[in-house]
Amino acid sequence: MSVLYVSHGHPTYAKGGGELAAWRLFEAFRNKPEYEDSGFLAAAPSAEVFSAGCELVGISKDEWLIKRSTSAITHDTAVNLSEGGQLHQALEGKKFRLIHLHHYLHVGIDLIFGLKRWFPQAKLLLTMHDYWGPCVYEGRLLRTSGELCQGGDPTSCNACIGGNHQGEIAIRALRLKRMFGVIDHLICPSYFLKRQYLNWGVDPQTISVMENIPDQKVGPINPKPASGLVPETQLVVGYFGQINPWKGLDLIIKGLAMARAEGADVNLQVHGPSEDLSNSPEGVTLAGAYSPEQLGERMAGIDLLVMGSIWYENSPMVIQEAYRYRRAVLLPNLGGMAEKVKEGCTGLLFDAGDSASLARCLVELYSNRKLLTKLTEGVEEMMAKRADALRGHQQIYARLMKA
Amino acid sequence: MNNQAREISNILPGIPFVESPLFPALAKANVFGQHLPTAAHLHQHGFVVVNLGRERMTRMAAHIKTDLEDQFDLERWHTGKGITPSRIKDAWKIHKSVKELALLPDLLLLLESCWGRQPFGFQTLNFPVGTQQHFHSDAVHFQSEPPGFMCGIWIPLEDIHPDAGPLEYFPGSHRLPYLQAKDVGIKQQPGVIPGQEIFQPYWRMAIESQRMERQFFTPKLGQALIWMANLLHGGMAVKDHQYTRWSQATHYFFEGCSHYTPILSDWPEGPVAWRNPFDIALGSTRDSISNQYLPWGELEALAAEHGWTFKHLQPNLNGFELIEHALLLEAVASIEAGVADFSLALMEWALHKGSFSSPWLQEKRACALVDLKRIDEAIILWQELSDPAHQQPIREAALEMLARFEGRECVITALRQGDLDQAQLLLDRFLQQGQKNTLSDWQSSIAELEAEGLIPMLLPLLELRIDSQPSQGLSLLIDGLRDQLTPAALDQLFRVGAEAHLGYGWHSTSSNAILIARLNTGTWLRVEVEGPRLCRRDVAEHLGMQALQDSGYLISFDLPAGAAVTSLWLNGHHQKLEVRDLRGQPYLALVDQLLQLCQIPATPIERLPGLLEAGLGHCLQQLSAPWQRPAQWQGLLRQQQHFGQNAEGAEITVVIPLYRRWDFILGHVAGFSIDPWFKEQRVRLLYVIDDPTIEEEVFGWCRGQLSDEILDVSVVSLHRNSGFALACNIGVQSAQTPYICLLNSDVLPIKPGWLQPLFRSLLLTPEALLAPLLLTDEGKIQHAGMEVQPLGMQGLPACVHSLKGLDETQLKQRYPEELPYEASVLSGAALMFDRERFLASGGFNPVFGRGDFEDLEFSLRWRRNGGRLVVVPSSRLTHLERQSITHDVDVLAQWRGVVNAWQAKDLCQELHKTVP
Repeated sequence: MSVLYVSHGHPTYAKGGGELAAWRLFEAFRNKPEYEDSGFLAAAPSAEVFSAGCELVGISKDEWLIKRSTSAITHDTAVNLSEGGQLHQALEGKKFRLIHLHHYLHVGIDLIFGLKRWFPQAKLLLTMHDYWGPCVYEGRLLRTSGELCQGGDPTSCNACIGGNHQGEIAIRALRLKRMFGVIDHLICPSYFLKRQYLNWGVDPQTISVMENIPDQKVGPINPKPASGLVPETQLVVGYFGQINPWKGLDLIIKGLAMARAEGADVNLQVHGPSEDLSNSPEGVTLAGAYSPEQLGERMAGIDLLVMGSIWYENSPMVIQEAYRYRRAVLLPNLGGMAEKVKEGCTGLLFDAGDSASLARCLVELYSNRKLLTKLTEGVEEMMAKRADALRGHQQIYARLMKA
Repeated sequence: MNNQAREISNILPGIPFVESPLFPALAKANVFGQHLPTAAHLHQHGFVVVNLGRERMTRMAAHIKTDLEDQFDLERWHTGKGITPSRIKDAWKIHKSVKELALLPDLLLLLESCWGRQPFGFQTLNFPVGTQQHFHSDAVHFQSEPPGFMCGIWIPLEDIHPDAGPLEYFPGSHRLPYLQAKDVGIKQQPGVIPGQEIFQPYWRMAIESQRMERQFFTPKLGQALIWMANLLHGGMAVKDHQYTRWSQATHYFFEGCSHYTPILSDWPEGPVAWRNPFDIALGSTRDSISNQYLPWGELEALAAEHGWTFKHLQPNLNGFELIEHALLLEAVASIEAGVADFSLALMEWALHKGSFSSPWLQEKRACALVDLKRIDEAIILWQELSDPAHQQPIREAALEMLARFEGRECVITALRQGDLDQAQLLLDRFLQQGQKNTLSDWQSSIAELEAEGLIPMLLPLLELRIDSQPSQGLSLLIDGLRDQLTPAALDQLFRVGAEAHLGYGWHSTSSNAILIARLNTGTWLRVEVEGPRLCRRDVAEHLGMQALQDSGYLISFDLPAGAAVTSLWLNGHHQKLEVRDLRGQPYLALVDQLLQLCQIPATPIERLPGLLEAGLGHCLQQLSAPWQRPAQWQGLLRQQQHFGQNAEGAEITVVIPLYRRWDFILGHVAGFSIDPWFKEQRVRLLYVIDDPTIEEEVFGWCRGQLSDEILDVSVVSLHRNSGFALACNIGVQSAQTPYICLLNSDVLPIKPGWLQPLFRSLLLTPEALLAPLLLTDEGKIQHAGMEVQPLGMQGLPACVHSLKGLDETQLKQRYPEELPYEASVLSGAALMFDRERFLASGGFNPVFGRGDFEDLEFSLRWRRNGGRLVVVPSSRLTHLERQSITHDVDVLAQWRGVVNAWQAKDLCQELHKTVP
């Protein structure tokens, strides 16, 4: 059985969580028997990758990039979807039984109907990586004002995207409705995400909750012990990922300062592109960007993963990765992040957006080294019991094929 | 006279005491003193006999007879023949005794007491024999204003024998009404001098009907008969020519009156034969007023009222003739100084109140009237003065003025009436009279033409004559008239219909400009520029005249069928003739072009209704008229392509015009693709691209995205943007199904199944125009039927969505069963109807251009044709109101909106009831 993975981007050009999740599945499954003829179709990062007159480029025999959608609101598809078009020619002869969509952003909604026409026997599976359904503005359910949002209100959506877009919002709603009408199954990497889509009106019968699969290339992990397990030493917390206003790094730094002011020798390592922090505050180390291969090494240098996101997130890959390296987590009690922590067992939660609450947790962790030990052991225990997401996907594929 | 008498006598000073209805009170107040019995007799009978003393009369009679007897052929009389002369008029001038008798002081005192004003004898008549004159009233010959201040005294100069033809009279006849010529149907005619015969039938009938008694007077010498002005009296037939009847009749007026001859007058409106009576006592025509009665204060007030300072009149002028001469000089001076109104007032004062009677006063009055543009009245005066009864100099002067003004006046009258064809016919005489005129000869004509705004009409006539009838006078007149012109121009002239034209330009006059067109039919067309002004900053800047900021205009006019313009003048300026034919050109562009001519946004939009009313609105109707014919619609089609499935058995076509935004197609396709009726191919979808700028994009997208869609989609494109109305009409015409659902592009389905209730209702009521409920994207009511209210600019119609903003719950409270209901007007955003009915009705009217108000007009027309307007609330769609058009604050769009509101009102009589 071959699967066509459709992603809003190719990891060659963008290593976002969604793109990586799609790619890892593609890589994982095409190496399995029966899945060898799977393909990967993604939106190109820009028009520059195309030759003149082309709207498609094949970057391998089973990987294609198509022109990027022109509208992030109505999600139109920018390539010809008629039979005989370039994309149709590229996919003609393929026998995809399953089309696993990881987004409709950039590739466009119309593509889905085209694929459905061309592969009428194929089942459509959509993994949702954020809240683009109910939220027109960046898909974060976070308004421009910084307020968290429930989504689905055209007036609020219109305000967030600058006004005067009622038309596109209404068109978009109709198109999403039609699109969700043809999807056979939905995968949500978090319960919180699922709840939001249910509230928005998606059929509850078609949704599974399943984590994205981690990087399958990473070999057996022998995690180093966290430094916090050694008494009387400093506590090192690590921030991993992009730095943007919604990730809350400023909040973390503020909480760190407050904790240090109370005498806790807490330090923060920031792993990720961090040009914006040219003057790093006291106790903050800018470790810079890292490759997936460096992740283990970077994780080894911290006692605990910390996140500060002020939006709901979905299922941040970094949490899974921390757990894989047996690191406890300190997360905001918000959205998809909150459900990833068994509080007091695998990590702690602080009040989202509240640096004082974060500071209290840091002081507690610094002062009570037994707590950090307990949390790290909790992670170990949880990972031992954890379901295999790859297998979970395989089961869903099989179930869909039988249906 | 005591105080009481004075007080009472002042109550009715304009009526002689003996005629006064207050006579009893006057008598009681002892106004008449010792003359009461005389006054009472006069009051009651209209005459009285008084005794002057035989001895005194014998002496005076002897003198008079001696003085006058040589002048009469009494021997001939005694043979039974007539006598010539039979009387001597105004013998007082040469015979002292006659004058003495006329001015007997006791008689004058008596008359003053009885009439309440000072009398003056103005005429004596001395008779040797009986006159045998038909009875008459002196008041038709000698009347005063105020009336009744006239009387006569007949004094026999011998004992009168009954066979000598004594005086006869009818007591009480003085109470008959005073007569004017018009009372017996006589209007003065040039050259005709009516005699008293015109009144005789009436007098005879009055006497007969009122059974008045005829009395005759056979006095002894020393007696005298006084009669009031209106007493009917005459001379009885002479039975025996052996008898003489020596007598003197003296006629008296009273001071403070004007005097005229009713029998020769068209009193009071027409010409009046004013008199300037002699005053026997003064020996001339009321010469005595120069010092004694000239009311200087009154004249000064008159002058002050007109801002005039006397140049010739002085309070100490002596002599009637001197004063009259000064009055004439004053009249001329004031006319020359441009104060003609004073000149007129002064002459009327002199003639009416001042008792001057020189015909030259009338002549100057006529001159003043000319200056005051009252030419008609002046001509009447000159006609009167040209009568042979007048002396040669005044007649010649009057005839000269008539020659100058009569021909001119006919032309001016025709111009005044806007009848250029008539004016052209009359021009010959006018030009003939003036062919040798100098510019100064033309000045008064030019001034009058200028003042009356007639130059713009006359100049074209004259300019066309300059070649065929050249003369120095005509050239000078044209030059003089051109000097009076104010700047004006017709910048553009458009042909907008078979006969209809629209002009655009500017003019600097505050009044309406005049456009004159010479037609190939040889006739003239005169059009007045009406309507609000347009802002013309370009003109103001170019000419450096800020006052021309608002000098623009639009003018619309129709030529007679088959006629063409050969020459044009605007406000007298000859214009180049370039007619741009707008017919058949793209209508939308024309609308904008004509609105741009209105100089938006500089011209306030509030002026637009007036501009439309003044002709712009109907010009647009003319320009759009060809597009009302369905046969023309297909000519706008550029291409048609089909995408997706072929729904051959479809019953309904959803027609959607596209303009600018076309991304709504994505919404339609998404929404319709999940609708069972579309899936079952009961419905087709047809887009009309009314915007060439998006044509390629739309077709490209459709090819890429719809070729394999499950929907049946046709896309037609138009050669040019033709407006919502035409796009809809062409869409309906292009559709093949019997039923049509017309949607604005920004109308989107909410959920499947919205067509069923509409279709069901249409099958039940085929004559209905149906509309679904339209909701906003927030789910509130946007359209559930409309009402028309006069809320637009200056009361123009506005469509009001009366239920707008309600939520569905509130609507359900109003219509719990969600059954269809009738509405006043339906929005064109979403309509369903029988295709053939729509086409038979003519579809939307293309005059509405890009859109708005076409649904109002169409709704009312549908109903007028027997259709119904029905809202089907169970059918619901989202209407993203005005998302399909621009959001910019577009001034031009605002102007278009006002145009369309006006068109709706103009085309729908129904709106005249609701929209005042």
